[in-house]
Amino acid sequence: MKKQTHSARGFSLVELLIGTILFTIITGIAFSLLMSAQLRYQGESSVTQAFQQANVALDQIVRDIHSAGYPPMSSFSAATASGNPYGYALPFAWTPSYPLTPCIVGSTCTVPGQYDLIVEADIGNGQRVQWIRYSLQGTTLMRGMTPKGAGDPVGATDSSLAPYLDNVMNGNSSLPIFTYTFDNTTPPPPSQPSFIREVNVTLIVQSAHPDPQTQQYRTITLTGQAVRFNPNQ
Amino acid sequence: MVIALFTLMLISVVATALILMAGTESALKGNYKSAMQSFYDAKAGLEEGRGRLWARNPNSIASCLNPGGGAMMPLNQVCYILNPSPGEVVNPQDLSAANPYADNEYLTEWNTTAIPSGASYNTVISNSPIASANIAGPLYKWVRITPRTESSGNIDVDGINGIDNLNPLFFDGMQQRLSTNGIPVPAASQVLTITALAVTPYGSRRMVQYTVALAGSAAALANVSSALTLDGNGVSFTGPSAGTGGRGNGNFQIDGNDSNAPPATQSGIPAIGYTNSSDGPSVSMAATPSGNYLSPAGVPNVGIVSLPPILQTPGGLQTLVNSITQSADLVLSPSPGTAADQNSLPSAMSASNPKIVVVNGDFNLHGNGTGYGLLLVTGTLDYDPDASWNGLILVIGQGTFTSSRRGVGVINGAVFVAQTLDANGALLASLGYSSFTQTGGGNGIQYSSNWVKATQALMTYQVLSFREIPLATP
Repeated sequence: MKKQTHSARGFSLVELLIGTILFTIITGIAFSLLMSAQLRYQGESSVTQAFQQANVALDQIVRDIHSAGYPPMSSFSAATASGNPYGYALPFAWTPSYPLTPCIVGSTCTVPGQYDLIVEADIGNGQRVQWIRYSLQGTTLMRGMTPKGAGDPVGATDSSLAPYLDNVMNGNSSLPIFTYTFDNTTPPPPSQPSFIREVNVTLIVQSAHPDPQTQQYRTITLTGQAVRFNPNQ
Repeated sequence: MVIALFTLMLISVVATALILMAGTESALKGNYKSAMQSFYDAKAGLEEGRGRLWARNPNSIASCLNPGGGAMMPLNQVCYILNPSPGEVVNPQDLSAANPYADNEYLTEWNTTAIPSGASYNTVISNSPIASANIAGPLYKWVRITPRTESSGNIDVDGINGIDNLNPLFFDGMQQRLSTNGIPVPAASQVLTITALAVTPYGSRRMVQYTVALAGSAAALANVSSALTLDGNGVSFTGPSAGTGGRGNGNFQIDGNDSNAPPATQSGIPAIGYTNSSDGPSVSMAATPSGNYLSPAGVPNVGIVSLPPILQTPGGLQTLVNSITQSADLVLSPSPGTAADQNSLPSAMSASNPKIVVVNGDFNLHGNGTGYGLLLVTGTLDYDPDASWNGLILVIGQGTFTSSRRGVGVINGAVFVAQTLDANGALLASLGYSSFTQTGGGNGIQYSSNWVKATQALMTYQVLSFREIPLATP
């Protein structure tokens, strides 16, 4: 008589149940890992995007400040300069009383300020000397550019401002975007816009979306130091 | 088995995503770092170019700029400083699209289709890498130096007839001025353009540009108008009275005859010059005995002189002071109420190694030694004529030169006095009453064109402007 083997017997109900439970647990863990990684990826992507945008903005601000004051008044004969005051660039425009009476930065100046800066430069785009303005409005850093001309530079650039960098949280954190260092001469110069030598730029940028895992917005801080290379005028 | 494979696949997906994410961040930061590096590399190139323009630089590129040695860099001349990496060829003249270092910017600036060749095209090798120390140096590829014209700068300097490349620009210490017919602008230095390209291994490219000219309106200083110039209004002069010479007290003279004039020839300038005609009578009356004040035939001993614009206003003179200070070998700032003295002068100062010394305050030039170079004093200069000075003495600020002692020292060169500051150190609205008093004795002032010119060579090139040139592939 042939002996019946166990291998042909099949799974018992208990074995099937245990197998199903194990499969469910393992795939659950795997999927939760995957989900967690995906959420983290989304969160990091959002931060990376914010970092990239802030990086580009910071680089542009620094480039503009490097060229601030080009071309200086000394590039022209005295007669030409006096006849065409818009042909040369002061390093930084100011308000109020531009260009007759220099204001004091941190005191009587509305611009340059902690969240507002107007650079004067010919940046080689064929448009001659421009007023290039950075202004924080709410949580959006605006950038605008208009040819240097008569009148108040703030009023002249207002209409050209366009969103440049979103989710800038400096205002909410009361941390200035722009701080200024003046020429280091003896005696020290007055704190007027024309004597600004370095602009320290700090951008606190918040990610566009909250972190999917923590539901909290993440912020990054970028700092840059921009030196004005053009001489005083 | 299936479960294990499935799990492995999921984990692989997760790992891949994380690697990609990290890679993206690294690339972002790498790009930013590379862009910043290329900017500062290019800036380093500008500084090498500016430094090697200086006549006293041991690696001066004067012959690269101006092989003919003329008064100015010819318009068709171009000088490159090349800085290839090991095994690399850098040829900015090759304008083919395959050449990453082609200098197409030259074509734009000079409105031409080719970079000059032959004798007009000179190159020198960068000295920024230090092979012995295995220091590669900044990664700029080339630095170009050219004359500045209206067209190359894209600036209509004089507002007349648009822009062109016909005439080089000059800098008179305050403004750029257009020369005409190839004749240098008097009392002004030629403006040069320095352009640098940097390319990093990541491929970041930045191009930056300086315009430069000799600091401190060196050309204006080199063309002094009189052995002693009293600049301003209401100036005063007091010299030794007759009979103070001899017995170890020298023979006081202010001599405008050039001690470096060729033998048997006469050239020179007035002994004393003033700038306001109403000061003429008082200065002339004080300059007695007249035999102490000499000048070549046909040149007044004491007379009115015309000065370059930078020397005519307190603001211009302050600009001059600032730029000389930037080139100074030594800046002394004595406390208020005290004076620095000759003991603070650089010990290495010599005839072959003149120096620029700036004193922000009062200075006592006493002792028995001899100074060489340019001495700028913003306070009162008290001179003991036991000492001598070879070069230029500028007393710009309080504008007071005093000397009451005996001695046999002499000033070979020239002296310039101007009052630009009030007693509180504030800039005057117009030039004040500079004062020169030497009542004791000494051998006075002997005009020497060589010593005056020697001070010009001490000046470094100052930056007139900076800009970054946008590139298509930054």
